Amino acid sequence: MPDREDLADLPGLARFGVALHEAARSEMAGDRAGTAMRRWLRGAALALAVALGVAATAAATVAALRGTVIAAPDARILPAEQTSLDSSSLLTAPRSPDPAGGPPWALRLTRSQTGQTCTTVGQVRDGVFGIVGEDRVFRRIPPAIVDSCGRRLLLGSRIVAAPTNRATRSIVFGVAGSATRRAVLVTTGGRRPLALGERGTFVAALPGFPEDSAARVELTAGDGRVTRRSLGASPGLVPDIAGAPAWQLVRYALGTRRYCARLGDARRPPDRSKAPGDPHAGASMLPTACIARRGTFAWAAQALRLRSGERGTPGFDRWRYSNRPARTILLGIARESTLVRRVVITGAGAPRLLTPASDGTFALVLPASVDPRALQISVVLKDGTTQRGRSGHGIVADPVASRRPR
Amino acid sequence: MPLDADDIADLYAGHARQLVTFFARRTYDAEAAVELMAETFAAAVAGRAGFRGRGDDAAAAWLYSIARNRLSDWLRHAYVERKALSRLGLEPPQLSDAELERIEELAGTAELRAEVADQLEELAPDHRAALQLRVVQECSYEDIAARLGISEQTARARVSRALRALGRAVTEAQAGNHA
Repeated sequence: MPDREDLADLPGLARFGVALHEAARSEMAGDRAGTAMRRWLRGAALALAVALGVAATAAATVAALRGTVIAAPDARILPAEQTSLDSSSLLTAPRSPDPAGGPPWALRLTRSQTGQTCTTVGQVRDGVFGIVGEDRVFRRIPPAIVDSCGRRLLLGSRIVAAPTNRATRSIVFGVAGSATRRAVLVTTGGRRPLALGERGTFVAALPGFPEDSAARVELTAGDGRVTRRSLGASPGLVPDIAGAPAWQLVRYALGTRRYCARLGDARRPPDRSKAPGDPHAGASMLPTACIARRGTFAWAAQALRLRSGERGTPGFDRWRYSNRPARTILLGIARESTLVRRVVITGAGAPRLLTPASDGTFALVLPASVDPRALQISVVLKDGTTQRGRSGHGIVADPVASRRPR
Repeated sequence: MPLDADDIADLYAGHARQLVTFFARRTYDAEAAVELMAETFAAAVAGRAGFRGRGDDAAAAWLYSIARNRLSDWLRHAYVERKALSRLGLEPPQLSDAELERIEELAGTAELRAEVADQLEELAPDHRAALQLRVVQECSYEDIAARLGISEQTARARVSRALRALGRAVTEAQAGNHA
């Protein structure tokens, strides 16, 4: 290997190296802690994603179910922290209707051998706690099977995968503590209070993946303190309307003269040929919005009305809007990542506040009834000044015709 | 034997600069090169269990195989997919203009750009016009022929000759940089 090189002339690379090392250590520490649980997941074969402690989303793993009772894991491979005491099993009271029409969702608590609280998300039918598999068979989940264990505030969102995006569900759950006075679920559909059960437990079943509803939870303690946690919202993720699949913002440098932003599917949708019944099958990647790197505009934005099936002119990297409902979409980019502090959009009902992603991109999805030309964009810059504009402000054409709006 | 975090750090210390230069010479874009380098190392962390070699040379070869895949993706999509970076919760390095210029200096792209610009000026006007219509505006040969008032065959020939001339300039400039 070459000698270790001094990166004094490239301090940004040196800083990244430190961050990479820390991230690698965290990743590998997580591997060791989760090895036993992952062994069980492969053996028991449930389609679930686990979040522990702080909000996170994870990819779902799909596998087949066998039998009428899901087999408990081999106790020899589980650490004491994740081995629950059968006698401690408590099926909490809150129920949430299944968006797919199955039995309602609930949260079960158990206590581990080391005194940690263990949670399991499942469905309840005829008083039995279990889960409906992709084969539509309901199977009991014995108390020995837990999703995760921890202490204090337990909060997460589990993904229940399905053959189509439409049937996928995200189960928001929490153990907030007996002192919790109120729990509110905030999604793209609005705010709604959550019923609290024993020990401040709650559960809510949502259609789609966590980012599709941009789910957030607000917990109010007895002393009035409010704790907020995001379970799918992120400045780089852009929710669609009414739980339709979310979008992801991407920023890149195009040559030496432009920065461009683009919106694409947050998750790769199923292939249309393999999921003919799924209205969201087929990938989408929208026209670019580009700004001059050394121009005078601090930001650029454009709004388009798009309909299902529309695409760019034939050519390299052609944009396409596949199998999604018609929408009016605003896409913007700051010339420098940190130049824009916040964005307010008016002209489509109540003003909408947008927080740019860390790379300076921002976007908003609106009903197709909104006229793109009616949108007014107010941008607060880093220095506190406000600039206003409309669709087309600061936009420079992408040199690749197939990426430009038609 | 799988790599641990310290192994990855050593790999970074030994290869980050080289890898950025590698990407910059092939993308002609310092910012894309930095993102590709970051995504390569993030992918190395994610795929560390797949490393079966022993020793520094094997690790470097493995790292560059990841790098070539990332470059291939970039050439296909014209943007850097930050899948591994996102998984680690990392953002690509944010470099100042001075650092980006330093990368361009390391890669020799400034000289290359100047060489290509000079060579473009050296092209006959009709060859230059045909090349710009084809590469920048992505016109079909039929369109180029219509706009320039020539046959489609002539349009193809002009573009081909212009590209060959530029290709010679790029090759000579790179040979000079790598010497």
